[in-house]
Amino acid sequence: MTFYELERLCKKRRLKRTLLRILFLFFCIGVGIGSYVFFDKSDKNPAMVKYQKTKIETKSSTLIPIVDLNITVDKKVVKKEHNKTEVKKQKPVKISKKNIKEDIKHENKKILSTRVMPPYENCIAIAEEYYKRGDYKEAIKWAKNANIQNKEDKRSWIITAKSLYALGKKEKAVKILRLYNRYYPSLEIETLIKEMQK
Amino acid sequence: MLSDLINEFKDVINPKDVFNYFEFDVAKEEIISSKSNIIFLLGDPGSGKSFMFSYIKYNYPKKYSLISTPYKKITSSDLAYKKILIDEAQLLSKEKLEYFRILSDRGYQIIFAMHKEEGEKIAAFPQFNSRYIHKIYMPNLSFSEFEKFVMSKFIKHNRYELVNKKSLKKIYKYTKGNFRLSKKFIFTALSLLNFSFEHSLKYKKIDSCIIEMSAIELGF
Repeated sequence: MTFYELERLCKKRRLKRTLLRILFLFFCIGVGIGSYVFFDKSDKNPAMVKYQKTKIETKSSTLIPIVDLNITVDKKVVKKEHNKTEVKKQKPVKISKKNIKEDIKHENKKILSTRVMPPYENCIAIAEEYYKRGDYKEAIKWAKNANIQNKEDKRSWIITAKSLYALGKKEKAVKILRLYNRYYPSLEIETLIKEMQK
Repeated sequence: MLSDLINEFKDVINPKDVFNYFEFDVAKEEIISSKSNIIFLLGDPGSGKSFMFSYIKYNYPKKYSLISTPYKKITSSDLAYKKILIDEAQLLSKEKLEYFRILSDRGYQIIFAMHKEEGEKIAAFPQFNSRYIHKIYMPNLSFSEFEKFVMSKFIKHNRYELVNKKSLKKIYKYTKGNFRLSKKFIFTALSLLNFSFEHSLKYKKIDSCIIEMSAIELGF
């Protein structure tokens, strides 16, 4: 082949290569734009929005029984709270002294409203353990946790009363036991009331 | 204009003009120091096996006999020395192979240079496989070796401005470090460049266009 023939072929080959490169570039850009448009539309698609809504609803509905176990809180309120938390998605929490105080005030309530609250039997066991150790405040807290889950069982009432008694709150202790005894009368409670009143 | 430089890349075996690189020196030392009576020097076509033999023959003329055309009849002069270098040994007939095997048993050292695939097959023959044979491989040049080889030639003729690392990389992509192919490629590129100089064309060095043209000329 002569030099000029080679040069012509070379130019052809290079032109072909650059065209292929441009085509490939366009293809890539096309694919990029296409995928962006597709995913963008699918996000705004009413069917997708509906699906997401139902997803949230099903989530909250499945959550209710877990939280609601035996707690005497209105289902509607719980539902509302859950929907709020799901939809709003965590606003940045400002930590202030006020917040901390409120937290301490409603500590028991907050513990109880969480999904990680231990079951009734565990709460009772913890309360008993604190009572044995002499940590009566903690014992009361855990007895309350148990009481909210099951109000019929006397053990939580007894631990609370005993702890209050130990803390020097005789009247309150007796009051609690009488209240329980009114609905679920039992010999054990009565003897305990008598002992406290001595 | 560039004829001297072009001649440097001609496909001619000149044992005086050696480019020493690591793999070449290792293979040479292995051949010289091996105690095995049968040695296989294996490598792709153009990797420098024939050059190696001519180099050894040139440096040790009274130690080695060189048979570069093994398909021809073997004469007594071919067996003058106890060490026999046989180039293109894949062309040997079975009878000749057997003949050299017998010679190796009688104290001759036979060194076969073969293409890698065919050599591996021949080395697997039972008459060779049962004996202690030494296989030596001749690999292709690495890029740094290739660069050194090419640049040494260009610097020798004071024309180092004609080529740069980028274009050498492109050439290496085509030749993959094969010695003969590299020489052939640069020979073609320089010939085209020489034409350009003679006719006052736009090409002033080995650029991507000259490389592309050389590739077309060589059928890549």
